[in-house]
Amino acid sequence: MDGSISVSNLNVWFETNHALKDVNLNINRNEITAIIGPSGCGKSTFIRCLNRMNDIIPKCRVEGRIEVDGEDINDKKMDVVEVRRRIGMVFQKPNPFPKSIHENIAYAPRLHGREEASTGKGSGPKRKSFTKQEIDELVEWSLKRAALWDEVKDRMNKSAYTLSGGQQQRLCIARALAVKPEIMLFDEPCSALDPIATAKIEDLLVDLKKDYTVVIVTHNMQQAARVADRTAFFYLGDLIEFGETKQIFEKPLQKLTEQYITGRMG
Amino acid sequence: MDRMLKEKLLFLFFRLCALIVVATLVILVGYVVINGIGVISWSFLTEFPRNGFTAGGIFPAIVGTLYLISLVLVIAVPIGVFTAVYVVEYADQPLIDLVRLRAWMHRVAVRLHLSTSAASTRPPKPKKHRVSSWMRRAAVRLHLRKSAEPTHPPKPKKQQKRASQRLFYRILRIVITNLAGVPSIVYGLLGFGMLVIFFHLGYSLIASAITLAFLVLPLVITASREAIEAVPYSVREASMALGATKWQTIRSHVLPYSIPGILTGVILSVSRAAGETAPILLTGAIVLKQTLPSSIFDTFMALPYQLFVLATQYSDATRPMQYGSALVLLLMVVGLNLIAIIIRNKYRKKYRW
Repeated sequence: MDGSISVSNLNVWFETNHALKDVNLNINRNEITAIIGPSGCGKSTFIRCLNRMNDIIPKCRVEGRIEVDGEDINDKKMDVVEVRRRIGMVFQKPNPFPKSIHENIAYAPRLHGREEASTGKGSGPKRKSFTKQEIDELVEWSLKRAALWDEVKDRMNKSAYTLSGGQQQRLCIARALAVKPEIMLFDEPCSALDPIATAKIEDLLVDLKKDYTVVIVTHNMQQAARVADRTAFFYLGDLIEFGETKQIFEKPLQKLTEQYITGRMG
Repeated sequence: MDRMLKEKLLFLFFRLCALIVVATLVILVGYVVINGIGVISWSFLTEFPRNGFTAGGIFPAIVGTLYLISLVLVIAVPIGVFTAVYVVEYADQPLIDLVRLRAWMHRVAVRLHLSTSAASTRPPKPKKHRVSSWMRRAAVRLHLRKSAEPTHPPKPKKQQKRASQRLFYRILRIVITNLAGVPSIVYGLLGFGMLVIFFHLGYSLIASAITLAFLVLPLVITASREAIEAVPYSVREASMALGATKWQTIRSHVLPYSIPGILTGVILSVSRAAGETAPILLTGAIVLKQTLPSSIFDTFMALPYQLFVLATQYSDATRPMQYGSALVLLLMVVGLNLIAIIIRNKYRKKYRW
């Protein structure tokens, strides 16, 4: 259970459109891996493969191996619900439920319950429901972890839509953390936020990598340079270059990468 | 003509049109209220009619209509809402999964066959055996048809499947729209022929309720579909990304957020079901009955039908009761709608975007 991801020969089609072509990539635990590239290059498609979110798009076909802790999560026999429980995701636009702040976070833990201490990994998923107090503790823990607790602790029963955009996005992060995932995926989490809210999310990302594997899609190259340990550059469905962020931004090996970084393309 | 004058005249015309609409309602309601209000009293609401509808009250008709509306909603709302859920959320999947059906039939056939051959000590069960061989034959035929198709790469086949699903979805949409356009007397005849006679339900509350449920289904489906479609995709995505299944997402997010819209369909249905005369006169409403309906298989009295009969077949002496019935029917519909509107507003406030 360390949360490293190994992607091999990943191909994605939307009907006849070949959206990702033979992507091979290793993502390490306790690191932030940034995916950059121009619009339509497949970066969102890629990150959505990592927790099988492309399954819900009817005309999408995903082939290849995506190993998380050595297990192929792209296997058709894999329990999609379990995959998504282990791999959390935060979307481009904050999408809280139109319920109270507390309810937003309590929803998923209530749904999944808690793993019985006695059940080993191999046996069936025996799950117990949380007590009210445990839920409250979990909600507080998640909000603290997402650096939102101090701002909302006095209005837990207010609608999530009374929060600002940046707070909503941190609420979505807290909501994903409450499921206790190993990996956190962020699909352009700051594109709808102002610079101050963006800075807060970025601080949070750096803080989260201590406990989670973090993958972030961004169209903001400065953001990738600021937070990521490694960066992957996609172009028209191909993975062009992948390496240490510093190397990608200072000494790119590929001409395409250099052109994109320096703003001559994309 | 002067442009300004033309503008003013046109506006006057539009305003007149709008006025006609308002006036119609005001006159209609006003007339019923003025003529009916004097008739209404506690005894009018709680007594059975006497002396050929010239004395007594309309209690059985009120109760009959309330029973009818409740039954209609109990039947139509679940069917309508879940049809809408299917149309919006699942229509990209086939209604009947042929591959699964084939596998299931195989399993059943094998089990039936095994159970008949294993139980050789017991007397043979020819009927079961027949079922099993029929099932197996059908399964084999389905198989044959499948293997008779040229083996092609997976993609075109998928597209073929999708095309047939889209066709089913299109047919479903057309059916729903056209159901709404069928005249109510035709529904009445359907209810009479199918429910009363063919299914032996007889003249009964249940036959009328089912007929009216058919009638209001398109209203419920359309309102629910619009409400369900209005729930943003991002909410579904958020829920699924947290590890909820599709049904869990629908149950805890999509349906609760659609309740206001679904209630709009319910409001429309109540008004429609309460007022329809033709379908119930063919399926279970009767003119006079000295008891309340004892079960859903009993006949019943209903306000709109009573009104129709009194107005067309009884003397002028029943005039007060006619106005009284009309007013009570009107108030009942308004009252039921009010309840639905209050619930709707409560939910609108609860789930604020």
